[in-house]
Amino acid sequence: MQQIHRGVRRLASLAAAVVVLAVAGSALPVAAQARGGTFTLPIIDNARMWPIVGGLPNILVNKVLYSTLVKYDLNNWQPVGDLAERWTLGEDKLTWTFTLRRNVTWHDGQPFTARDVKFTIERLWLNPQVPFFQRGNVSEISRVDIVDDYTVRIVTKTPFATLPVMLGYLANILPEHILGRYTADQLRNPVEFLRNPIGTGPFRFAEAVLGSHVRLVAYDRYFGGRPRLDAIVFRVVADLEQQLAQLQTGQLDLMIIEPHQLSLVQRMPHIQVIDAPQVNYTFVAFNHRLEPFGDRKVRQALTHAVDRKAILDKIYQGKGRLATGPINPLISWAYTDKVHQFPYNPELANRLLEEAGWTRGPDGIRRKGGQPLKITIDVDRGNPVREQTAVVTRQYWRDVGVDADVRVSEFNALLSRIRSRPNPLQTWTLWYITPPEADILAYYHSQGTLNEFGYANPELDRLLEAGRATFDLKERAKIYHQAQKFMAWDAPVIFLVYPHELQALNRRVQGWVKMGYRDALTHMTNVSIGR
Amino acid sequence: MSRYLLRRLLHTVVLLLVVTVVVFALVTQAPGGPSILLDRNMGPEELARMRALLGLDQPVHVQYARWLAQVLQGNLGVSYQAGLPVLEIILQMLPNTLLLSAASLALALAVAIPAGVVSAARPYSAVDHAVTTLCFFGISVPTFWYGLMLIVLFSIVLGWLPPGGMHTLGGERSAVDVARHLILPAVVLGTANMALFARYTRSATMAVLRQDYVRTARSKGLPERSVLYRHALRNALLTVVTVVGLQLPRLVGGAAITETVFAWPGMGSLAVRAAFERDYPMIMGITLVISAVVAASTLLVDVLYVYLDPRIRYD
Repeated sequence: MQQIHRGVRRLASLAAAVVVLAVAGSALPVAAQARGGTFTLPIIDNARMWPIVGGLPNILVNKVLYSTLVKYDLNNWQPVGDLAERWTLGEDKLTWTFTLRRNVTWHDGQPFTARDVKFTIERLWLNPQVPFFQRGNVSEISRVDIVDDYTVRIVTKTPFATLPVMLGYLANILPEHILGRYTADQLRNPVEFLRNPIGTGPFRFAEAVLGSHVRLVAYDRYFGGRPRLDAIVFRVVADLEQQLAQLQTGQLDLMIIEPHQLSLVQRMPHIQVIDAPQVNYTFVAFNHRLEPFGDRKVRQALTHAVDRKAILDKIYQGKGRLATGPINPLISWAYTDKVHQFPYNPELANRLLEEAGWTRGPDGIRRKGGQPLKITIDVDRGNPVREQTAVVTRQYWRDVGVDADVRVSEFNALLSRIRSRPNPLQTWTLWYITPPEADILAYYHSQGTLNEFGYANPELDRLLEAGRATFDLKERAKIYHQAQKFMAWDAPVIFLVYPHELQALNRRVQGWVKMGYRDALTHMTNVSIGR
Repeated sequence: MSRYLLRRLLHTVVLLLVVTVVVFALVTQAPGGPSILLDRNMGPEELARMRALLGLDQPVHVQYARWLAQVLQGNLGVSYQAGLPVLEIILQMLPNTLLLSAASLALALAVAIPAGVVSAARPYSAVDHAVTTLCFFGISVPTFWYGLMLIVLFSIVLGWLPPGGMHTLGGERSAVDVARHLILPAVVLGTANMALFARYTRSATMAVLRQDYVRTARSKGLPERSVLYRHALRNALLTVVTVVGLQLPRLVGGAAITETVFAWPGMGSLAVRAAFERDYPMIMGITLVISAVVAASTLLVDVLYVYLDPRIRYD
């Protein structure tokens, strides 16, 4: 009897095993689109999950914790709905009507409504008591009217064609039902809210261990459907060598690398390098308020003197595209490369400098009115691409008779010098990451809030103002084509490269979209971890 | 004694004031400003507003006075970067640093004392030369390079230990897991101390071994082991304890480089990030806490002397 029992049991367990195998077998095809798993990426410091203040750690975490009214299409970078379903512009070209999604809930279960939008824009973004780091992008908004729970009217002071794009750029909507009762003082730094931040994004806050990590878990009721991943972890790893070690041992799934690390990372069999374009450009800036940079011939000469192609090939390891102006080719409707080009041409550079009155002295240094042509290039410490760019630019300029020099300083110090009024620097090399828009008024208009170059040209001012107030895309494209042609000839800065972001990604990650990682993080619902 | 204590406490308060004034002046006058003001999309108007809200538009002495007034009310302010109270952050980092420091200290002592004694017992022998060479390596090897080499060997090539952090994320929180993360940074941090302690143990033991009572112990026929460990070492340890004691304040301050290399969430890496980001409240909070601990521990040691050595009197 005992024996039979044992036999039956054995048979039963065998049957169970067969069933398990069969289930596993039927699950196999699905394994290609795995579910579950944790995606881990580094941040260099604790994130403050308060999208009113800047800082890359904050920006990255807030991308998955919160939502914006619009986000960017991963193919053409045009604004598409996120919290907003659609929008229309009124006859007056000032009143925008945004229709909101109805099925959105905050992570505490409360419904998202028009009140949250009005609160975020009026009490946070536009409130003079609250320092919103992106206010420049939305300062054209004058007020927000609630039409009903799922419709808002956003009114701008002047016609502002860029509004939808700006509403997708670091413009997270925050919960009125929690923050509405906060005082202005509390809104500046809502400590209690930061301990348990509530958003509408695909991942909700789970824990923050200071100095170690922030863990967000999938939000089951996310309006775009529950994410495939179970969790996203942002690990605090300030040291880049440590990041590399964790990437290699699999503790990190993603890391942004520099071109010189490419060959090292390419040797790691479980890592693929994704070469993601971003809306950006790098440049060598001129301070137009200082001599001799007010002279177009000098700017053109200094541009022709630099072999930008060699910089792209050698320093960027070819990972990018030669820049022709301040509008990135990803903004395909507005971009044109049919503009004046600046091929490497030291003879032409020499001729232009002669024409501008800078003649070579016996020591080979150019002089005008007895003054030597002495130029310092400022650069920040620690970024190999920019440091190398500064060093080779110095050499190219020396080749055409400039007494050029490089000064390296800490990024904080460099930026505060550039921002002091008046800006004391002659030239410097930096980069811009911008909203996916052709509107460059803030940077190059004579009154632009971010115009650190001191560049002022009435003709360009007129074009940039027209571009901002024109809504027809074809008309806008024409205006921005003109602006790019004008700028390419006027050479306000040396446009260097549209660099790609080099993402070292673990091969087990599936569904990652090919955008710069700030924007890829807004497309996380289909990302999963394979086996 | 109580008058002495009062005087010392007064000195300590003055000392802390001086330290904070100096550090405050240094950090606020260093080129560049807080990182949260560095977003490239902020125009001059926004920057000015932000500076005003942080009180940075005031003259330095006003800023310091405001900070001090806050501190006197028991508030160390709010970190610019994390947005949380400075004291809360420090209290979260402190146990991690204490754990790492204690582990490295224990490791250093466990290796250094036997090594020092063995060296002293047979000076200028092959063993002594080997220990001495290792000691010089330990004292002179740069921490960041040594740390990276250990990571390459034990994490990447052998795959035995995690390269950094304090927890395996997603897994169970367990003491074993923390211990695995602790090994490499504790070894790196312990190595320099190990070398230092071994040298002191060696010289102190050698000095003791020349004493009369050691000769007595040997001549009455005690085994060499017993002479070394019961008689010589116990007396030599006094020197070692002093040296270890001098290292104690560093337990609290953490090890900036080691913690950063291994992404260990402690006071040292916190201080490094705060300095880079010009997180003024955080820098000042760390300064104040560490200097207070140092001042308190020296005071404690001085008071303890009275009980340990009846010859010492403070009047």
